[in-house]
Amino acid sequence: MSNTLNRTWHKGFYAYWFKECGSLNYLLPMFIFVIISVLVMAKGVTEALPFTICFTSICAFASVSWQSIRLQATEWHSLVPGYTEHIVKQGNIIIVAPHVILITSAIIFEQYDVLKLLSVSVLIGTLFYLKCRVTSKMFNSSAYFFFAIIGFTIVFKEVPTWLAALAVILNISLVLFRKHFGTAFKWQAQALVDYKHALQSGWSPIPKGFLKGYGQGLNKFFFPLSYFMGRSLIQYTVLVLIIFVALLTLNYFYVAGRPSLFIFSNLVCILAFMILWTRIQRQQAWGTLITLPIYSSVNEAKTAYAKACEKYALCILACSLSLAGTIEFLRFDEPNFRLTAAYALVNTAGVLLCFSVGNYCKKTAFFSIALVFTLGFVLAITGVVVETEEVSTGSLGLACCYFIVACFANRNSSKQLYTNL
Amino acid sequence: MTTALLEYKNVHKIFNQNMVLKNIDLTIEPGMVVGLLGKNGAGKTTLLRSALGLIEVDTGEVFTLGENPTQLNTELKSQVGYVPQQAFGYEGFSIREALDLHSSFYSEWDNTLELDWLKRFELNPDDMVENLSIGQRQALALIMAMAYRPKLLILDEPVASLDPIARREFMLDLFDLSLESGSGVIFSTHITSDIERVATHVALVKDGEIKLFNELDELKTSVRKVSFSNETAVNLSDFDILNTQNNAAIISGYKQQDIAGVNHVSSLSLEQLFVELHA
Amino acid sequence: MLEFINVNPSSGDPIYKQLHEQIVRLIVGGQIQAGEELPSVRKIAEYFTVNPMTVSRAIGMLVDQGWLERRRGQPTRVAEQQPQSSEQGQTLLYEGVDQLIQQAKQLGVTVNELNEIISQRWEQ
Repeated sequence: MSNTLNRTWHKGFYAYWFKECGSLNYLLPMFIFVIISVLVMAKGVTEALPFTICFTSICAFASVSWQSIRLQATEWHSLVPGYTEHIVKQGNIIIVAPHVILITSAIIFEQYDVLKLLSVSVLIGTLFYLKCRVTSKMFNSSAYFFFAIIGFTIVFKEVPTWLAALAVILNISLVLFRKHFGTAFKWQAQALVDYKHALQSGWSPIPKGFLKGYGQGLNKFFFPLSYFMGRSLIQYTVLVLIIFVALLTLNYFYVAGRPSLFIFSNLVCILAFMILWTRIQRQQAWGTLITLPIYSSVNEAKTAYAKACEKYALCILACSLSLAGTIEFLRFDEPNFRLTAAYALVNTAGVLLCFSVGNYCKKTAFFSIALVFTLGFVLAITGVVVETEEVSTGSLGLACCYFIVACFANRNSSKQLYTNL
Repeated sequence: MTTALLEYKNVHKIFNQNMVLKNIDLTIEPGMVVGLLGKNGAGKTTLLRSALGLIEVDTGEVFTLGENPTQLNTELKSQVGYVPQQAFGYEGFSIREALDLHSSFYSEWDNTLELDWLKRFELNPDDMVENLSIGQRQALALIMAMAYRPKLLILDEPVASLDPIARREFMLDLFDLSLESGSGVIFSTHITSDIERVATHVALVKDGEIKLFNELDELKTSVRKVSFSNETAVNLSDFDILNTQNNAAIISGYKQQDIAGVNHVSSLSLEQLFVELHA
Repeated sequence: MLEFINVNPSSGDPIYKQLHEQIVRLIVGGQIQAGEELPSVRKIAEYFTVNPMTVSRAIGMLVDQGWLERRRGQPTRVAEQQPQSSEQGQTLLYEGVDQLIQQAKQLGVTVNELNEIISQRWEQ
């Protein structure tokens, strides 16, 4: 029996959770956001707290939910005595640990509102996780789930105490009655399909077949970006538009102001992340692309790819301009040209920077790490612009420079794109 | 009397209104190596999965080590080995890490066997599981399923992606397991020559039914193709007729006797039999 | 001696039968002498990569028929006194001859013609 006794709880922990790109993708942001949250609490920057806290919480649940899809896709896991329990134990630690850190620091730094907010996000997270334990289909909608949380942090800056209390009670009952959701982690043939599909498509939230047939024009416009992305490119483009309209509507009825600009930047960066993710998953496809008669060399194809990225960035620029312009106009009844321009330039430059970093990455694990840092950098700059009340001409000039640098970075880095040739 | 390691009793399974398993009766006892032969989609995988509790049958009963397969306890689970068709589940692990974790679930893990097999299949313990070829991945799955010498070994197309030398060596190990440890093995395949080398018994599956289950040697002596020029003059009522064609039939139960009206009796290799049955 | 034997798992004949027949041939033909040791069942099985049960069955039959001798704790040997070998030698040809006759019939060759062919070829 010596083997069994020797097993510690963390055996295989690192390999299982941190070296599989799907779950790493959530765990890395989670770690970074735990640290940010604690720092933010220590400094008492309450505006940023709701977002960082909820994001941390959701990332923890999402990574465990993702792994439960993997369990359902593994035929033999229930036959190996103790295997499932071992993995679930590690998963529970991944959920509990960041929450304990958040709660402890909230108590230490006396940020009691955080606790109320956490109670709600944990409730949503638990619900999502419990569903993902019994079906692999649920995970495809994880992107909605992220958007819901982000929206939630805008709408509810302060969670009423009764809601928090209700959430806690509901949460406890969910955990107690978790068996009613069905048999957890039962193997199903569909799960492997869902797992692979999700890995390739970067968790596209829009159902297959959406806008089918209407996207030819867009596909041509964005070729060869669309070549790597398939139908997801149109889906993401539509998603940008939906968010754009949603934010405008929100601002029309309810003054959300500049935070919604920041939210938009966040979402646009997440979309850039998804686009790059998909491209990296399909980088073997370069071979076929280059055999097309429209390109005479590998470099020509790479340049065409960089141009397609620029076109995409151009769309983001247009959206950013009109969003920022409208929001400022709604608030002050007069246009704020400098802020609008600065925001649009900075936001677009951010996307282009993400694309440039993506061009250097060959492996998804490396890509995840590199992009988390890039996102941090890009969003910090956007944050500064959004927080600035009056944008000076000098700052606008800086924004212009930043934008130009990003354009060059994108074009130049495309030469480094990894192809399997 | 030996106790059955795996027993199917009148098993039926319906998927989307298709009957994928029909009236399956099959018993596997210690020392038996059963080759499950059938086309893709004949129901082999479903048959094997139902022995593991991955799929629940609609009618009839399955007993795995004497127990309902959906309710195997820890002790019984550590006596069952399974290699699925699609190896999946240790992405992110190196071979060494994967084996280290996997072996920690079994108290009877044989480290020497693990090392021998790593060498034999030329697996480098530092390689990442997701970068392995299909054949290497299958080899790793075999190590994981056999290093604790299970009483019942269930293999779904285990050797399809192994090279011929690795395949032969693997077969020898199957013999060791079945004879020396008294284990039972059931493996599905559509490669007839593998069955002819390894199996003691053959089960021919067609459209979810076991058309024929017999000892391999017995099958080769008792199954014949008979050809005749006049169908009405032939009386085959003494035999099981497996398939009839134009002026020919595949029969089972042949005992070297003369059959009136038959021009020619020929023996069949497993491959010929397989092809004839699907003709 | 194993190099004299050729096992073909994909033939219509069971492997035990192939082994049995060929070992008898080797004994009758004098390629293996009385008293000579046979490799162990395991060795034979490994050599041909076939199930040891099959090998065991063939050896068992040979022992039962008196071709081989097995004593407790000792390797199996070729028996000193062999069962009516001349007669056995002829029966070994039956199968081949049956096939020949079958083909002759299909080609419309008569017995006399077949005999002629055999004598002709025999001389060469």
